[in-house]
Order: sequence, then structure tokens, then C-alpha cells
Amino acid sequence: MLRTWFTIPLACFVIASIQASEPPITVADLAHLTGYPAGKLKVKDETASANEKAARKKKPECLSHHVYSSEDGTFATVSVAIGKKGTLLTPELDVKAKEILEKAALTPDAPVKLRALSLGPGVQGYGGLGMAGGGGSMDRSVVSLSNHDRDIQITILFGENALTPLAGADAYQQSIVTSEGVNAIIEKCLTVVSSNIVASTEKPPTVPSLLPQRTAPATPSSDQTPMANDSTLASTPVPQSPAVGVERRASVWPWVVGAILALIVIGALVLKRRA
Amino acid sequence: MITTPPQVPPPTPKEPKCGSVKGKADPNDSRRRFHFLIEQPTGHERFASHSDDGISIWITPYKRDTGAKQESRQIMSFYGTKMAYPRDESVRFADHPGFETTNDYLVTIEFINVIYTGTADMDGLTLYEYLLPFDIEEVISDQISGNECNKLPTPYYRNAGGTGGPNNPMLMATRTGRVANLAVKMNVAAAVSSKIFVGVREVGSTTILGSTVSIPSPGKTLLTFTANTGHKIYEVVAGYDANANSALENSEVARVFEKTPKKDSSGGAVTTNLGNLDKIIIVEQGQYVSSKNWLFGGGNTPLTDYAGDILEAFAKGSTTVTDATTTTVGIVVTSTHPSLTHQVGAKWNATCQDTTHRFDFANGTEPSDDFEASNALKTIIDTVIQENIAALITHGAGKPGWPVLTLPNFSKPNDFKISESADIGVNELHLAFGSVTITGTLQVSFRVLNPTTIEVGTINIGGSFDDLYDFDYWSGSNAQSGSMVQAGHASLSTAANPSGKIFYTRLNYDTGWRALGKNFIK
Repeated sequence: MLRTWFTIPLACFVIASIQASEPPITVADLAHLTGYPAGKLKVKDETASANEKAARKKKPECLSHHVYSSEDGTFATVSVAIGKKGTLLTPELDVKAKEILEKAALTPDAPVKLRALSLGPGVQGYGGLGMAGGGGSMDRSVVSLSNHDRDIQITILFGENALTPLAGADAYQQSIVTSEGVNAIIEKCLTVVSSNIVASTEKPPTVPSLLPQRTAPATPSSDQTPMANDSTLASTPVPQSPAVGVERRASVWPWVVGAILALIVIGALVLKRRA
Repeated sequence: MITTPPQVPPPTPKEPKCGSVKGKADPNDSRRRFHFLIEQPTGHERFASHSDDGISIWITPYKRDTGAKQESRQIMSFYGTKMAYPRDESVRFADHPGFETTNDYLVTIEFINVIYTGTADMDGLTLYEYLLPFDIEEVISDQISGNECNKLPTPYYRNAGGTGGPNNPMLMATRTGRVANLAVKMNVAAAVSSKIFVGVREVGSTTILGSTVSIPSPGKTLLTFTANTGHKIYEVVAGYDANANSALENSEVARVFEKTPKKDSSGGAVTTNLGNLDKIIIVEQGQYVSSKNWLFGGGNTPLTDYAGDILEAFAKGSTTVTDATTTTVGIVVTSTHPSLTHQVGAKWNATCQDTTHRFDFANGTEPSDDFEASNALKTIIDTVIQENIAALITHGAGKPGWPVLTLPNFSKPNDFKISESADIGVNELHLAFGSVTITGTLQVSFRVLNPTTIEVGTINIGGSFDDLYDFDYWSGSNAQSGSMVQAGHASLSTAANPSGKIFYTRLNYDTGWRALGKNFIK
């Protein structure tokens, strides 16, 4: 009996911890999208560290920032940041991007990789926000979900040297170093993450089960399927992850914490009475 | 009568490199019949004949002393889409009257377009068994003449981590416009070199873009051709000019250059993705200009800081950068610099050296401030203290207050892509510097809490790191643009805008005393 009183709160605490760090796209989904072996991928919640840096630079903070990488240099690091609308696709960035695109339209010969992205009604932004340097390179896309008060940014980072070859990931490694390949992967990720956000914010809040759940693949709503002809996406399992629904978590978890505390108090009282 | 064969030393026997074609005189008809055992060629998909699918055997006797040739004769041919190997064929010279096949003659035996030369000891019992193929030994970028710094083969094929190399496929640019220049070292007997031609074609294409007659090594066969637009991948080929039109045709190609060992930097076998082995990426002027223009704007990412500024300096060939407090000029860089991936971005001299500049970022500049706040430095501080904890405890034991100890100088490798992955926006440190070795000195103000624990109150750390600013063609499509500008520097940049020149960077840092407030346990 005593064990039960301590086990239940502990289980609640562990599950709460897992839920709090759940990434916006699962490792399995990202592996499926990229064609990279899931077993070699790891994800790290870098939200706190990212916001610390942002604060130092006086830049807007994000709601979550997850980094997907491999330990052996065979995978180009993927970062997924989610913020409130206007914090990642900032008005300043929007103005600059528009300027570049307008200039590019006037001078068709000028090479521009930047492009406007429209992943469906209410999901607009920019892709091809590329950058390179002696230390490596990055490909970045950022979109706003205007109806859901969210910005999503996907960044793919390359080190200063080529990916270390990995048997079984040949197609991924050959594709990711091309503009077309990297853009396709980023857009697929954006679509999955935005679908997850839509699913989590449109679903009525419910008290989560104490057991971890993975729902069946969700069908994106009709207004969120700009790439509906993409068979890969159609078959991609979309978890109804609460990870990006930070506000929803904020409204639910106080009740869970309250319940845990109540259980502990009751347990303590019972133990005291027995003693 | 049996005569003594002339005293010409046979070539050193060695394993044939291009398949195996061995000839033997028939002991029962030693003067007039030869057997040829044709084994599966290596390095060739097949023996392609003049008519694409099959083998033809031509023999040309020539005088051992003067090299004077008789007329070549096709003595045998086999056709079929799939040749079976090994093939055991024979030829009777008696069936081809007019051939001189005495001991005064050698024979050149042409299998398809592959030339094998051997001493044909007509009165003896054996034809020289180890036949000598011609081979392409080295392919050197002749983008600018007078050096052999950018070349194939490389010591290994693909990079399994680490920095720098291998430059395989080899990256280079045209000399001007789309005109590309290569220098090729050929292992070919002088007696037949005039019939062996070296050429180049785009991988996957059957169009020979240019060819020239071979010159035996150590001489260089200089090959000039017009590259295709963009940044295509090419291969060097060679073959026998069978139709004597003084040009190599695709049907005459018998050798495709391939010399680099199929192993990675750690010596492991490489068995996949061998399609680019010993190929050449050639950037022509239009591509160079296009890539340069893209870099001018710091890529397409607006609102970047110093990473964008450094990139622009690279694209413009500028020797000044915002935030760089000084520029040091006249620093020597060599083509063998360990972190230089492609041997381009400098005008190499005969000893593969050039001078370049270095941008110094002083303490207090934005890059330096970023570094001082980085995870990398936090990790180094923790690591160095932990490495020296025994010395710290010894030094501080029994001392009142907060004693100070200067720890031994440190040198720590760091990859900013990994250490600063938590950056929401542009990871400036990663893009500007990448993987570096950070050196410095750490002073620690601390107190001993117990025999195994210290509390570090404040630290003072300072030092620097250097980097070479260059690009890897295979590290993403954006880095590819940088690498193509780098490739064009030696020949396509201008004096006013020496775009694409590699340079050094140095970042200095000095935090001064600052709080740490952390315990360390031995």
C-alpha cells in the first residue's frame, strides 16, 4: 500500500516530464520523411538554452526548440523551432524577404534561392533562407500559421565537411545536398509540424491519460493539405502531440499537479493515522 | 634451325591492370599459332569493340630496333552483346600471309582499343605472358599552370569525419569562359604513345569534349577542352586511335581514369557511392559569376551579422570585414593545409604555396562576445577545471579565503555546429568558424570545501582560435555555391575583386573575472 502511494505520484511526474519534452515531430516521422534510419536519430529539447541565447541577443524567445541529430555525422542536423506568430517570421524578416523577392522579380538573372512558401490557407512564409560560411551551411524555412498564432521554423545544418557516408542512407545523403532535396524535406517537415499544431490547438482540451498514447495516423484537414498529392505525406503518421500546444499544457497540468499533491497529502495522512 | 632470341630484356612482369590478356605460342605450332586467354576486364564494363558490342583483335608487327611497323591486320573478331569470359582463342599467322613474325619483330596486339605490347619470341615457345597495358596515372588541374597542387588520385576516397580532404572528385574551374585545362600523366610505352589518345567526357555522356595524343610520363599530356555550362562532373579517358583520325572517339575509349584506393580516411573499404571516384567537377565562368552574386548578399538570409559579413568579404575578395579589428596580410597558406577540403582558392606556386590574409576579431567584438557566452566555452571551463581538480585541491587546501590558481594552458577541439545547436536564428559562430581548436588560459578563484570538493567562485579565461575559411562542395547546396566561387578564384576572379580567396580568421577572447559559482568533485 505504501509503495502504491509513492508509485502513483512518481508515475505522474515521470509522464509529465516526458510529455513536456515531446518534440513537434517524432523521430520516427522525421526518419520516415528523410529516409534516414530512425535508430540513429536522437532529439534534444533545446528550448531553455535557445531562449537564453535569444534573450542575450534581445531577440524574441520561442515556445519550443528541438534539435534532431546523429552522433556520427551521417545526418544533417534538423532544428524545429515554434514560436508565437511574429517571433520567428518577424515583421523585419518579412519586409526584407519581400524586398529581395521584388528585386529578384525585376532582375530575373540574379540568382535568388529565397522563395515565398504557401503550404495551404493560412500557412505562409519563406523558404530558401540559406546561408553558408567557412564553418558550414544552413537551409532555413519559416512559416506563420495565421489562424493559430504560431510560427514554425525548420533549419537544416551542415558542418564544414560532407556528411560521413552511411550504408542504407545513400538516397538521403545524396538528396540532402541538393537544393531540391533539402527544400522537399523541409517542406514535408513543415507540413507535418503545422498539421500537428492545428490538431493540437483545434482539438478540445481533455485531461490526458496517465499512460503515454500514440494515436492512429491523423488525416490532415482539407485546408491543410497543400501537398496532398505527396504519397509520402499521406502515409506519414501524424501524432496528436501536445508538445507544441504549450498553452494547452499550461491549462491542463496545474490540475494534474494538484491531483498529485492531493494524493501525496492523502497518503501522508493515511500513513500518519496508521502510525 | 633455332636461333637465339635477341637480348632485349622483357618488361618487368606484373599483373595486368586492365583485365588480363595473355598469349602463348602453341607448343605444337610454335611459329604460327598463338593462344589468347582473355579474362574479364577490370575497370571496364566490357570490352567495347569498334562496333560497340564485341571484341576485335588486331596485330601490328613492328621492328624491334627501328619501330618500323607493318600494316595492321584484324585477325579476329567476336560480336555479341554479352561476351563470355574467359575466352580462349587462337590465331594462326599462317592464315595471314605477309606477316613478318621473326625474332626481329615485336607485335602490338590490339584487343578492341586496348593496346597490349609484348615481346613475341617467334622462335621460342612462349609469347611474353605479362602484357603491358597503358594507363592513366595522374590527372592534374591545369587551371593555372606551373603547379601540381590540385590533382588525382587522392590518398583515400571519402571523408569519414574529421576536417579537410579528400578532394575527390577534384574541384576546379575553367581558365576562362568554358575553356578547361588538364594535365595528364600517362603510363604508356613510347613506341605506341602516338596512337594512344587522352580525352575527357561528362560522366554519363558519350561525347568526347576534347582529346589529344598521349605523352609518356614523366611528361604531361596537356588537354584543353570546352566544358559544359554549370558545374558538371567529368572523367578522363584514354584509348587507341583505331581509325587514325587523331582524335579519341567514344567507341575507342578503353580506359577510364581510376586510381584512388577504394578506402576511407580510416582505411575502411568503400564499396558504395563509387560513381564519383576520380571524377572532376569543373566550374565554368557563368556558374562562378552566378554563385558569386548569390554570395554577395550573404546568401539569401537577411539580417545576418558577422557570418554574413565574412561571407561577403569572401565573395568580394575584400580584405576588410565589419568587426574584424585588424587584417594581417602576407600569411602563407599551403595546398596541404589539413583543413583545406579542396585545393582551390589560391594561386598556388610551384611549391603549392600562396599568401593570404587573416581577419582578427579582438576581444569585445560581437563574434568574441558570442563565443564568451557560448556553450563551447562553458564546456571548456568545466572540462579544464575537472581535469585539474587534484592540483586545485592541493593548492587550496588549508588556505583561507579564495585562493587563485592559473591552470596549465589548454587546447580543446570544438565544433560550433554541435555546441551551439540551440540557436534559434542563424548560428553565426557555426557558419563563421565551424570546427576549431580553442586554446587559452584559465584562472580560477576557488576554495576547498572538503578533501574531494571545491567551490569555484569566479574564473578568468582568455585565449584564441584560428580557422581557415574555405568550403566543401558536398556540405549542402549553399556551401556548394561558396566552393564554386573558391574554385574560380585562381583564374576567374579579377584583381579588383579577387573573389573566392581562402583566408584565415582568428578570434581572441578574454572574459575577465566573472562569476561561476559551481562545485566540482574529484
